[in-house]
Amino acid sequence: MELNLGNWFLSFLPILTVIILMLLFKWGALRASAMSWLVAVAVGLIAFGGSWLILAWSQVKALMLAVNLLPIIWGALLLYSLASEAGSIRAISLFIPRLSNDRSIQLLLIAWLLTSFLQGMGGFGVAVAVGAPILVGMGFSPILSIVMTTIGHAWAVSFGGMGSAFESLIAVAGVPGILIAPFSAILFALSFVPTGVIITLLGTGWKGVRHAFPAILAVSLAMGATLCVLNVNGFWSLSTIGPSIVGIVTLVLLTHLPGYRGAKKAISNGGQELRTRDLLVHLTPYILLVGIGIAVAMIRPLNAFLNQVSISLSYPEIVSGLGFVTPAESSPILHPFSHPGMVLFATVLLSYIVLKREGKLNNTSLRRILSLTAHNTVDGSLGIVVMAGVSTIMTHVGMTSTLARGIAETINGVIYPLVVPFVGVIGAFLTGTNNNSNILFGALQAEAAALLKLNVPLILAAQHAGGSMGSVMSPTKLIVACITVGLGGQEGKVLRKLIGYGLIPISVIAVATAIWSWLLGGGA
Amino acid sequence: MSLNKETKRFRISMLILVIEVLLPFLLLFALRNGYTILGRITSAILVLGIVYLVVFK
Repeated sequence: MELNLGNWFLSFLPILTVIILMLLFKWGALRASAMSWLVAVAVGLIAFGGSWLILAWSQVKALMLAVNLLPIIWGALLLYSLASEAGSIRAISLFIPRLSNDRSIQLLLIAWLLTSFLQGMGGFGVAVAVGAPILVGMGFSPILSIVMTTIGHAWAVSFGGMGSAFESLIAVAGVPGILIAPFSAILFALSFVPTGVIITLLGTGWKGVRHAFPAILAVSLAMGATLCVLNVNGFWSLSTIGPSIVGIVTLVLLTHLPGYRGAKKAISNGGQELRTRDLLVHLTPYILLVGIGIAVAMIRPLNAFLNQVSISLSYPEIVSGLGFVTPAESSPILHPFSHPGMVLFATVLLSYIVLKREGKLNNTSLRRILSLTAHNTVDGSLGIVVMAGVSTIMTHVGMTSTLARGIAETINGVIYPLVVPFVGVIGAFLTGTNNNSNILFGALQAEAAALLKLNVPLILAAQHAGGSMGSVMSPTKLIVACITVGLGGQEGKVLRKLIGYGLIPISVIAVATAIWSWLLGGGA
Repeated sequence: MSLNKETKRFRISMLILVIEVLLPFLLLFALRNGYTILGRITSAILVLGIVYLVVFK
């Protein structure tokens, strides 16, 4: 496939379509994704030698990608519906002031640290599905709640899901993880302070930032140090959960300082004081989620037992009309019984039993929970299937390759490190996951870095960071986030608010990568 | 019995989801076995499902 400006622009057109329709025309993510699908099919068939057979294989592969994500989304929305029906979200919103009545501290705890921890446990969509409704319950606007929780857990996607996205990067780039991980730790650690500042700024203004800055700095240092220690020693499967727990403990300790304690309130629930036992009952879904998630991931015999069942499909070699070859491959291996979606379903089932026994749910609750979940999940599922289709169509006719080659071959070694995280962002925005961004662009980034005489592990770490930060802004994740705060179909409005602030931590990482690369003598 | 607007929209979305999930397999079957007309009908329905999302969502 010849590389020229026309081909490159056509390759970028499906992505541009989603961005323009959502940002300028405020279209919902599903509608914009569907238009992007039509554009990708048209460009693929007309300009890139695509065929209906390639389209069919692309859609089948897209479905296999979606199958990995959909149970997590269904489980997350089911958990949200259950917690909402039982009054747990309201109870937790009322509980937060017991820890500290300081608004900035509450925000940092929920939007930054709790969501990061949940991302480590549950993955796709769970962090915002739990965090954003709690913030709405605390009185923040739905759009702000999504923006703050989304930015708050963006870093955590990187090593969430037991580091699966990082493992994919290692596999496709062929570079040992132990070489990439230290760079990765430093780049993410640099994004902690801007993340904390943005959340506080959005929620409480500059006055709140000035007040909370020492706490943000202390938490960032504690989390950054933990992340570095874990990554340098090869424990990247714990590199989301570990720093998040350390961050939560640090912040809770800080609430004992007079400046961050605020005036503590008694917890009331509709005029009646909420007893500690009631609070524990309301926290059951989240306690079970953490407990089951840790058990499945960390108890090796249990994990090995559950992983005995696996599903994978084999695909043939696919050649486009212009000779672009997609080699024969297998779909990612799916372990249905240790999948985060299964963890969520088990959590919901056990939580339902406990909450019903405790009188928080009645006989008609189950019907309402299922109905609310079913109505919410259809559009979210469609969005993921369609956007995954855009991604696989682009990959199979060579559009993604053209896009990446265009960037790698036209930008020199000095500027390239600055662009690398944004390539990761594009991959993640398109596919909805850091994992798929790394699969799409990991090998190309490694190849381009070697050609430009740059430090390959540093460039791969920047790709990984961009993928992590970009995935949270993808249309598929925004659909799930918007559903949980009653903003279904208004993803364009949220993206408009999110994109400016979301790009700040990514820009910090890009500048850091460029400076670091220059110090290492890259691109000379 | 007439359904309310919300229920109708939900059912149509569900139908499109089923179409987008199942038809790629049918299209693959048709194209690999030379069933040209079935292939054309399937691909047309697949595309029309997406067009519906653009126009009505």
